[in-house]
Amino acid sequence: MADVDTLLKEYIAAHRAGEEADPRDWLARLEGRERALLAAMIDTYLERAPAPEWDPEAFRQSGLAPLAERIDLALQGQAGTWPALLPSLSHKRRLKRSEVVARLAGALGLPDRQDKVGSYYHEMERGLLPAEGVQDRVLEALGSILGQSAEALRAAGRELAPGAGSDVAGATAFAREARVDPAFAVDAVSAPPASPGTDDDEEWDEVDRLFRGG
Amino acid sequence: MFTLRLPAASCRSAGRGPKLSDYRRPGRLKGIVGGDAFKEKGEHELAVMPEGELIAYLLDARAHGAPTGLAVSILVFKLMSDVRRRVAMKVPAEAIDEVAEAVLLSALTSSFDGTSAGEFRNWLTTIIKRRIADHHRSPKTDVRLVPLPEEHEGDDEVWGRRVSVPFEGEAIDVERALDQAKRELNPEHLEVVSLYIFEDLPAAEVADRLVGITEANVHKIAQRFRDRVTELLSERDDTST
Repeated sequence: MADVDTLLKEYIAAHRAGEEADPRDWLARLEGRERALLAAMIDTYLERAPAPEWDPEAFRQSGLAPLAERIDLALQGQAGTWPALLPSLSHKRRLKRSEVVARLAGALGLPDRQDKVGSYYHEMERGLLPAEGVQDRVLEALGSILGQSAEALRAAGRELAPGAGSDVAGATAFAREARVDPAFAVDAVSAPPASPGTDDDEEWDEVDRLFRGG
Repeated sequence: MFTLRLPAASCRSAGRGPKLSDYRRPGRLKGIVGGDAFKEKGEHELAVMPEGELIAYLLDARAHGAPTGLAVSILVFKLMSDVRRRVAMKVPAEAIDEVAEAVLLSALTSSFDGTSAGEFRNWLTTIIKRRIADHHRSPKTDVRLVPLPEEHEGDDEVWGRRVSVPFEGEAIDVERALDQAKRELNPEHLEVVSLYIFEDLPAAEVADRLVGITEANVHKIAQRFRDRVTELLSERDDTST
């Protein structure tokens, strides 16, 4: 274990010095069981290594802000992990939000109602639309566009209420999807807010029923 | 929905101060949690909170409808780099970001299920292992079908310059041997091993920190631990042949 010990010490020193400290650079210097052992020991070190101090400027430059925003939307919203999941899925498919909306409206047989479908989809991405109100037909259509099953999308949309579990299938689905390119993230989160169907004077139509009728 | 079971013999939490479970007892820590006593905290206060407290604050802020964006940002910033490092050792390069993001999403959202008490770092480790396993179970990213990096040595466009550890076989054996060797230690000796081997503190400093432990003891305990790991790995070799 001598080499492993030496490399572990070197790794810890690099990590503490604030270097990039990508473990793979150290693992590449060993093979087979010794590599596996070093990986396990580095993991044990990282498990309890002190976290970096909060640095707002470094955070801004890290590219992590969109991820934090999506997680926060999920926590604040009433649609489970949809705010984190939907932009990620569309990014994975290289689809802009407008393309998702157009395809969704088409799949629902409502190509002339893209604006309203888009408003509802925006609410889904922002966690503003309760998932239980969204009909299976919508989730099936959306799932076929985003490469996920309707069941996985339904599970991901379960509200993260205090006291309610949240490790839903969507989290697993999210694990397999790529991080969101800023261009797509901006597209996803900056669309003007809308509240279709919430005006008491407005009559419900087919789009309202699909997204809010349950 | 799931309930995470924390490993009994895991190392102590890196976070200092009260445990997350403390905050779930009404009135246990007034001023942070409890009834209507919620008080929104500023950036300077949040920035220095141990992770467990920060998660607990997030829980309480959310329950009170208070903003959570800053607390989430701080947690993501503090946790992401080491989560990425840990994930990077177990999944192919192209999957690191998505798995690491999934870990963060799971960690920060499942903290609100009311069942995941205990030390945050142990719990995060459990989530990391789960998400890595999820990734490897996915037919889309079946790592067994992916050529090893060495086959593309020098081809950075395919693999980059780095290698990770295959998730199955050797890695599992080593993790089990390490876990077993740690489990066999009493709490005091586990602390010695943790500080001396896994935090790389000088033996003299470890001895200073622990009552009744000399520098010579530290070396002896660490060597015994190393020998035990080697022995366990040999036993696994014997079993598998």
